[in-house]
Formats: sequence, structure tokens, C-alpha cells
Amino acid sequence: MKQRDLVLSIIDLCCDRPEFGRTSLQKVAYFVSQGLHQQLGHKAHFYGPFSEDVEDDVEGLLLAGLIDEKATSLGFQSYGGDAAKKYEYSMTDAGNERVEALRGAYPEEFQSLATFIERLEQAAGGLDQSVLSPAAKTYFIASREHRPVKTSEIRTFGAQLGWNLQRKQVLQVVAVLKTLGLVKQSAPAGTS
Amino acid sequence: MGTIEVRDAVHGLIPFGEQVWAVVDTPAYQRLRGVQQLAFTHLVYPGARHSRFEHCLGAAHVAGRLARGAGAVDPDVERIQLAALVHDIGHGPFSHVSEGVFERLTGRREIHESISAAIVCHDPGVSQALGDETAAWIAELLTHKGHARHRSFARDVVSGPADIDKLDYLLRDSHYCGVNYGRYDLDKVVESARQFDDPVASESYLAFHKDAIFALEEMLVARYHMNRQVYAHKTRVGIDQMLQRAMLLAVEENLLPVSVFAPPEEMDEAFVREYLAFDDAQVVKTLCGSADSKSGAVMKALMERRLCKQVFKLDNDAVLAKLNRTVGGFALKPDEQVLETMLAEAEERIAQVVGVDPIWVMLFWEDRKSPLTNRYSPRTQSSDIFLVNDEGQTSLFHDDSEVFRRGDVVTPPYVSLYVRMPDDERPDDAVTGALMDATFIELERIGKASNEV
Repeated sequence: MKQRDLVLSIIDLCCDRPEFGRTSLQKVAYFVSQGLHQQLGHKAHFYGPFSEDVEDDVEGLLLAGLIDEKATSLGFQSYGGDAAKKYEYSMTDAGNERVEALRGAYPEEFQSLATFIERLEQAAGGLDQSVLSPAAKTYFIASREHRPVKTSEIRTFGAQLGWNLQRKQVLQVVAVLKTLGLVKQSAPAGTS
Repeated sequence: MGTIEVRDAVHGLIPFGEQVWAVVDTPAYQRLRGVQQLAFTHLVYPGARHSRFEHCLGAAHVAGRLARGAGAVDPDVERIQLAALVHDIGHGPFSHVSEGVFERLTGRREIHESISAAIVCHDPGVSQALGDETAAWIAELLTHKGHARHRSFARDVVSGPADIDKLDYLLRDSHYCGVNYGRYDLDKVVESARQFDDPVASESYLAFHKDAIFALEEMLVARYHMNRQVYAHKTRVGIDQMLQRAMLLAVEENLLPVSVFAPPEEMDEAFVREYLAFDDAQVVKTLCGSADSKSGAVMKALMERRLCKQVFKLDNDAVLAKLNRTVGGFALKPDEQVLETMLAEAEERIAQVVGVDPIWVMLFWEDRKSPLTNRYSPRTQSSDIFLVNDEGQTSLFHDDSEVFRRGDVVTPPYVSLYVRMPDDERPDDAVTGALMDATFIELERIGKASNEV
């Protein structure tokens, strides 16, 4: 499956969850890349692991009319006065047709993706960015070190990337990562 | 020898110490005099004849000012200044045009930074002038590896969102191109530079006092305007494409060595030696010396300013008015592998419409991200600029700037056609229409192939 089709399939599998939006798409794609060993080009962006390639794919899917993007006001102003917005995705008829074709052409790949996203959703209690984002940051740091790392180190390395991770947050998301089989925990206060 | 001053066109008299001059006096560094900062941009802006040599001197000067202004002291400042001095030593012939060739031939990105690091470590003259320890430290800084995997004050100064590269090239390119778009208040930026310590990260970073917010906004607007008015100028884009084509053809024709223009991942001393033999003049001489070759023909045309001209530029509306939504969307953002496979044949068929050799036809997908919201590179994310107030509290530039707090501007993609007609004239309306029809046929083919499941 081409990368753009993988992104389309992720959107298809996730877009009916109310908490799923632009940020959680990036985080789900990040976990898919790690869990299913796909290179999706995530790098350390200020807001966490971010892939310009995935964003580019979304632009391509919008241009091709396979998905729609809707900006909804969150009803308050962000710092500086702009209306805070949430970006949500939905599938178009053409997008649904394409996903059906992908299911037929890549049945095993599609099933693995669906199973992985289901596991992610169960482990994180949904697809909310407030959980997926610190989980992605924590895993990004831990996997980059290629060695066991302590909770305090996760916070330190996170701060070096501009990521403010609280100790409690790290401990919470380690449980999510463990459930996904992405990390092993050698002691209650640390991750490996 | 002590401090010796040099007169720079942008910064005036700038003083450098002994070690800087020791690096400057190496053949590897002197080669930069022969690598033009903006390639053949002088064919559009005649004054743009400056080289990487003076840009690197300027960057080193700004690095010293910025680091000292932020409160850093020697030997840290000296080391940062040396890193700035060599930050572009790995640029190939015609600067970023070579980078495009490297990327096309290797599929990797940001290669010149790795080449700079290899030269710093493996060129005997440069590594001796720097000393082994400093050379290794600089190599990691330029490639964001080792100690520079994480943000630090030194990395922010040399290779960060408001680094010495941008602080120098905006003023320099603006000066030599004779445009005012790149000007901003460097003195205010330097005066407001601070070094702040983050106790959680056990690291210090470059920040700017909040008073400098307008100077920083001005610098970012300058970057945006230079990008749109100079770097993305339609004629310059065509010239860069011709130059890139000439170099790629020359590699195919065995006139330029693939060992240099498809750099290996592991770059040793032998690679560095071979690489350093190439500057702009060497490439021009090699290609023009082979008059019967296709690469030579393209290079000769460039030297005589007989250019491929932009015939038209197709935006979203134009493409979707002709092609169905899905195919049109894929045509505007084609699958990279599909494009690589189909592009040459598409250009060949379009060339047949006007009866020219396909080397004079270039389809160009322009998908320029806004330079202000280029989100993937820690070198360019303006959102990552730190501000600090009188109480030492930090904040992010994008949170405080009224101008730049919106970071999600998307620039729509375009497809342009560049053609050099036999008479070097612009095609008339009838020929333009025929070229457009042929281009739509090719876009439909590419869109359909990209749309295949």
C-alpha cells in the first residue's frame, strides 16, 4: 500500500471518533509507523513527533477529493485572540470507494492496520490527543536512546526538545506503551 | 598574528583571530570563492555574484556577535564562530542546485551538511587548523548528531530557527541582488540575544529579549519576501532547473563522476579529496568542453542566457476545470515514484508538439511550503524561537507575536511548464494552447497512474 493510501486508511478507520482530528491523526500515524514498521517520516516537532510527509499526504487526499476537512470553533479564543479551532476529517464517496478497493487489494495489510488501531484505542482509552501526544513524545525519546531510560531522563530529553512532560503523565503513558508492546518496564518508576 | 580585520560588503570591518584565518587559508575553504551563493541568479539579478566564501565569513562574524551579545565567553564563542565559519564548506557547485542533484541521485536529504562535517573531519588542512577535538564537535553540531542531537545554545546559534545562516544570507542576498526585501534590524536582534538555562533540560538555549519581537518579525517577513521574490522567482526557478538538468545529464554522460554527485553515506578522506576538486568553474569547463554532449548544450545555453521560459503555470482551479477531481488532485500531487518513472516520457511527448529536443522542456511541480511555517526542520521552525522577559521567564515567539501566531498557512501547489523554443522567443498563443493541451494529457496520465491502487 502506498503511503498516501495508508494515511487514507487511517482516516477511514478513525474519523468517526469525535476526538479524532489533525493532531491525533499525526499521533496515530506515528504509532502505526512504529507498531507496523512503516517509515512515515516523523521528526521532533515542537508539539511532538510530527511528519510533514503525512501532512503532505493529507493535502493530497483533500486535493483529490477523497476526504473532507472541517474546522470547528472550540468556542474560546486561543492566546493572542484567534478563535481556537479543531480540524476534523470525514470520508467522501470517492474516498470510501478507494478504501474498498484498498481492502480488496491489500486485505492482510488493511486488517493489520485495523487491528493495530483497535489496540491503540483500547490501550489509550480512545484516540484523544491529550493521551496520544505525551505517549508519542515518551516513545519517541525512549526509542531514540537505544537503551533503557529513566522517567527523569524522559523529562530531561523532552525538555531539550521543548516538550513539557510531567512525571505523572510519563508514568500514565508508559502503561499505554506497554499494552501496545512498544516498551518494557523494568521498575515502577522507569521505562526501558 | 593576532586579530586581523577584513572589510565585508555587508557588515563592514570584521575582525577575526588567528585560528579563523588558519581555516580560511586552507584550499578547502578558498574553494568557496568559486561556489556562487545563488548559482546563476545573476542572470535575473545581475549583482548576485557573491559566493559562499563571503557568506561564511559573514556568518562567522554574526555568530561571534550573537554569542558574545548573549553573554557567552571564550573559548565557547571561538568554537561557535569556527563552526559558523565552516557551516557551508560542504556546498557543491552552484550551492543548492548541487543539493538537488545529490537528492535526485541518492534519495537522501540535507546532504551538504554531512559533506561539511566530512570535510571538517577528513580534510587535512581544515582538521589541522581546527584541531581534532573541535573538528569532531563541529561535525556533530552541523549534522545534529552526538552532543547536538538535542537543542543547545551552540546549536541554536549555528543551526537553529534564528541562526547565523539566515541572519547573514538575508542581508547579503538582499544587498547583492539589489532588493530591499531581505533587510531587517540585525543590531537589535544581536542586542537582544540572551542565553537562558533550562534547569529541567540541564541545557542552555539562545533566546531574545521580548523587546526584539518586532526585529524578529521583520527578519521573518524578510525571509518570506526573499523566498517569494528572489529564491522562487519564476525565471530563477527555470534557470535552476536547467542547471540541475545539465548536471544530471553530465552524470549520465560520464562527464561528472557519480562518486562525487551521488555522495556515499560514509564519506572518507578519498571522497573529500575528490569532492573538493569541483567548484562552479570546474563544472562549467567540463560540460562546455564537451560540446557534443546534451549536458554541454544546456550549460552553453545557460552561459549565453538562452533560457527555458515559463510558458504557463497551472493552479488547482485550472487543473480541476479540465480533469476530474481525483485524477486532477493526483496530478497536482503525484506519487513520487510514478513521477520519476513517467516524467521523462511526458516531457518528450510535450517536446514533440513544438519540435524541440526534450532537454529543453521541463515540467515543474512547485509545492513550496511557506518559509514561515516550514514545520519539519528544527533549522527553520520560527515557532521554536525563545523569548525571555526581564524576569527571566521564557515564552515562544509564536505565542507572543501578533503577526506570526497563525502557523497553518498552506500554499497551493502548481505545475509549470518551461520550454526553450528554437528561436528563443516566447511561444505565440496558438503554440501555447497546443502545449497546454499536451500538458493536460500528460497530467491526466500521471494523475491516473498515481491514482492506481
